[in-house]
Amino acid sequence: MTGLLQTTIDGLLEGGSYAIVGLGLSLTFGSLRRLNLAYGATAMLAAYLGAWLHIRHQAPVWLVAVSVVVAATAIGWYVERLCFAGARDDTAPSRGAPIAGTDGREVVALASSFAIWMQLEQLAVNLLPRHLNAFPSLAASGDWALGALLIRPDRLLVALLAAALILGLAAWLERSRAGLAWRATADQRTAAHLVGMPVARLQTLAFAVACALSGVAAFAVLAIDGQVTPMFGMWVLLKGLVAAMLGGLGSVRGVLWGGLLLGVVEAHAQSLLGAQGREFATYALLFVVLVAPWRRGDRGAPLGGLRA
Amino acid sequence: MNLFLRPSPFCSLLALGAWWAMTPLANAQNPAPASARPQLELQCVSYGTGPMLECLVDLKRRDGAPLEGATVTLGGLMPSMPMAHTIRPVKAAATGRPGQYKGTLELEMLGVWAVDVDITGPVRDKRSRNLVVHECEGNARCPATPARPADMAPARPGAAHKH
Amino acid sequence: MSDRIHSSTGAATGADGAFAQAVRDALCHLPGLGGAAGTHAVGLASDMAIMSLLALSAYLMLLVGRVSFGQQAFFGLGAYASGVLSAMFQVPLGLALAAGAAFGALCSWLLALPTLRLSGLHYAVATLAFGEMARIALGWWHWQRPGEDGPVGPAGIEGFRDIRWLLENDVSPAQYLGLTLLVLLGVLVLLMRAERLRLGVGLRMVGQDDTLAAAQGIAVDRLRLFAAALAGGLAALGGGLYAHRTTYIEPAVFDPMLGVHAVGYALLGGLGTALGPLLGVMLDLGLLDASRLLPGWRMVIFGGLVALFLRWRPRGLLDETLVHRIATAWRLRRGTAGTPGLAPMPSPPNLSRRKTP
Repeated sequence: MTGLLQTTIDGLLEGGSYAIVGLGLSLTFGSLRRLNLAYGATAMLAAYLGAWLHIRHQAPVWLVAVSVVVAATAIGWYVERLCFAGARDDTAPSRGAPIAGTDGREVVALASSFAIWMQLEQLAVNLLPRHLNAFPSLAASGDWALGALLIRPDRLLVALLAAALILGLAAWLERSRAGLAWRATADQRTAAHLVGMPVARLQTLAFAVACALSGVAAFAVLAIDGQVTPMFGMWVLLKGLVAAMLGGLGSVRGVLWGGLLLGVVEAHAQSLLGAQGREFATYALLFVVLVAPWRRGDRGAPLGGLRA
Repeated sequence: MNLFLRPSPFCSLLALGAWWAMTPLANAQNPAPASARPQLELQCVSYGTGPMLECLVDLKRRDGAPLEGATVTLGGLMPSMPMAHTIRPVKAAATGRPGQYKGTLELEMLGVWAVDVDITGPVRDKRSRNLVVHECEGNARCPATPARPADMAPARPGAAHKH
Repeated sequence: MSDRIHSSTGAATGADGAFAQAVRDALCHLPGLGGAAGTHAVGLASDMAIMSLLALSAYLMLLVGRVSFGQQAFFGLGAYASGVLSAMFQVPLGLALAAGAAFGALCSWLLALPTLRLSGLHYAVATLAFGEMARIALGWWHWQRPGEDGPVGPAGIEGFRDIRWLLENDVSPAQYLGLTLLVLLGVLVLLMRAERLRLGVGLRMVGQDDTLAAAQGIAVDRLRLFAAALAGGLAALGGGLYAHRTTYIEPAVFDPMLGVHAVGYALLGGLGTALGPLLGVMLDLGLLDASRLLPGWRMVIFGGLVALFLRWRPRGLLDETLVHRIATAWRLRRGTAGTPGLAPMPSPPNLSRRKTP
């Protein structure tokens, strides 16, 4: 029984990382109705910059953290300019987009963001060619014991950070005027424009915040690990995507539940089927959630709007 | 389904090619049976930027005698990105020791590489080994280690730390 | 190739064998195909042809309006299937490739069934998830049979070694390149012919606007399923060719980046014609990679090009407009009056004030 409980607790703690990683992705989709496939690569390039500072210039931990967040925001601005700037004008007729139709523009932005994904990954690997690169490590040396259960304090901290960020952001979206403005531009772009909200600026801001959050997530996850590999970009994208989709793309609190659920499922899959089984369970869960017959209602069109 | 509106040179060429591809290939003229495959030992060291990979190939016949006079070509590809990172195949020259050949490959990246050894000559065979090419500082030469299954599976953060 | 022993008393029987032998000899003596440089060129051309098949498979899905990041799964499934047949059951190459392609088509069709109604975004993510599931499942698959030189067969994550059909039947790399090019040519002819029939037009209509196409009586779902099956078959065919070329495959080869690249080639090269993906492959593998132009920056340039094109020329280099213009110019040059067959699709209306069309 304690084994099962231990696995669940491990899963929940790991799920905290997934939730924080998926937050930016969900936020982007909620406010722009676009899936940013370059999200993982953005986080990776920013993390690589931080690692480079750490390795080559022995920068202190706080500087690495700040630089990762700033770099992620800057790279996010570049991605937004190149791929999603056209997204702010949904009402203009599409000029022969590769995928026309109801969701044509979404897929165009998706496609160009994956091109930038390739680009950013190559840039990161050019910066630090090795497979394993040191990252400032804030890992805890021991586990806390709670009765017969072991809890890793660093993972717990990240999970709590994730919960704080997500619940804080959700509360801000619900209660504050600025949050209301964000939700308005996400739900009804034209109407928000008509009442005088700076729609383009708000959406750019939302994108920048999402990328900054990805930087925070990257730093938090990598600080536990103490190292960064070229696989990090794909990991961020896939785990974030699953966490966000499980909770419903665009729902901020949903990312928290999605991440925790993913963590628990993975932990149990690992104890039953091993490391590869764990990966398989992740993708199988994502696939099932996507093709699930009971989601017939919202599968036809992309979910829109930002929900707290 | 009415796919071909009228016969055309393309279709004739296609038919000819299909027939050529299917039938004669079953008639082997000089088969390379599995029982005649040479035994292979491959040792590679990496050095410099690039990095460069210098490989020593030892070939022995089934009975243990070294295989001399073979034409050995070395090639490589990255398993994770197979058709990119094309590197020029290099002919491995005989070193003087019986059955030993040496060649240097110019790689583009560090990491796991699949080194191909293409043998024409007395017998025809193609082998490959997965090797992890490490970074080597300065003028040193670092041996490339055989890749374990853990190297092949993509790593994920947190894999190093487990209870 | 000069190392082969040309025996006139070989196993070839009758006129079949003699003609085939003559053709092979002719190929054998093509200039410039020996030596390491020739090997490199032959290898590069083979890689480009195989990648073109995968890019064509992504192109087919793009035609019907779907971005699929899972085509590498069918590439892998086809590679394993034809490898199993030829290495473990001694099935001749052509048959093994055909069976692998059929298997890939079946799997793609099966995947397309539940994902038929997904929106573009969800479809892309679902195919990505499926691709990874297939790759991990291939890493679990152990099935070995005793062979002449030890066990042969898929060995899980270590891959499937010793797919030696080409070696055992003494097919040189240049001959294999010839075969690969013939297969590619056949596929291209098929696709380009189909463009001028109702099938091709219907596929494009589904891609442009499926609601409108359904309103005009086109069986949108069936066409989508057909396109998925064909795309899966093409990818599996490419996978089978790949497996025999490299003689060994492993699950790590079939990772999402391969599928992402395939979609990139199709988008960059153009969606107007089946030659578009080929152009994309030639630009990346041929120009950027093989010429060693700025070696560490290949993906940076390629990714940037794709993103820029999607912004300003969304249907790629060889888009429908350009293809139509080339076809019209060709027709005018040939001076053919009244070519039988369907009239070409009209070009987009020119709404500018200039009088020339």
